Amino acid sequence: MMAYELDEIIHQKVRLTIMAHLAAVGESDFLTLKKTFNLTDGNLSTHSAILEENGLIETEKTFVGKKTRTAYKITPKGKQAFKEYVAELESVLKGG
Amino acid sequence: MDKPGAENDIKLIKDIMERSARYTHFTGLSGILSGLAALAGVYATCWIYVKLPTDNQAIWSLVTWVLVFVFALVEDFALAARRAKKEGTTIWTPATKQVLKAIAPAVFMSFVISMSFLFKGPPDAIPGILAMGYGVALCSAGMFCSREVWIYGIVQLITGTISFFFLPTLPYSMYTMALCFGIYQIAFGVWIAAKYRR
Repeated sequence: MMAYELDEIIHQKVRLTIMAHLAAVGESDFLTLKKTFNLTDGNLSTHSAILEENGLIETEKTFVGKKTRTAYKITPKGKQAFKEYVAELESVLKGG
Repeated sequence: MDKPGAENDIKLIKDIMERSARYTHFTGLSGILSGLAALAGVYATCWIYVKLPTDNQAIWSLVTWVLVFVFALVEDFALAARRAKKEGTTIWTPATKQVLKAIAPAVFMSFVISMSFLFKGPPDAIPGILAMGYGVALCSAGMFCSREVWIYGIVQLITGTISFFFLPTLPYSMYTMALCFGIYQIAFGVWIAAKYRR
């Protein structure tokens, strides 16, 4: 049941992008994500908030000079959920 | 979920993970500055081998090229950090760490072999060795950077090999140094600056 709920959270293009990026690099920031994947501020904020609410990522705000840097980090729960999501995709491919 | 949907998602994940691990901090200006420093290094080395007594030549050549190397590292780091700060990001990303890990063995190996040639002779072969080592380092770094870095590595590797086997004596080996670390580096910097506007 839990895996199904987590799937529904990850199974959206922007959220999947954020999760795959963080699964690859561990930690990243708002501007890197925005620039690398051509996301809008609103899209990125909304979907990262959903991932954070569900405990899949953590957010940390720090100051770099006068600017605020928003860093995102994948949580152990997020790693597990992403792993299960990929496994689920692979099983669909094998089963089909 | 159906099979084509799963296939698309797997493809998307692979693409994102590859793009995520790419190093993009290199700036064109950094390449141009390090190329100019290398040309100054070539000029200084030629002066050392013409004007200084034989006993002092090795050590002063080493000092010259350590200074060029340190200058290139510092200005590259400073420009990359400035760019990252301007964009509100950080230079110390996982991709940066991967690039450093990838180039370290080639840099270390070419340094050790060059030291052996510098103090035991003949030093004339060093430019070819350094160009080959730099080529290998760039090819390794190219796995985490844009494709241009890998192409540039191959060019260095070919030029270094030609120099090592066919032009291993002074002054030709110094032309290799000027070509590989001066002219090529400046051309690469201009290429990156023009293509990526950075």
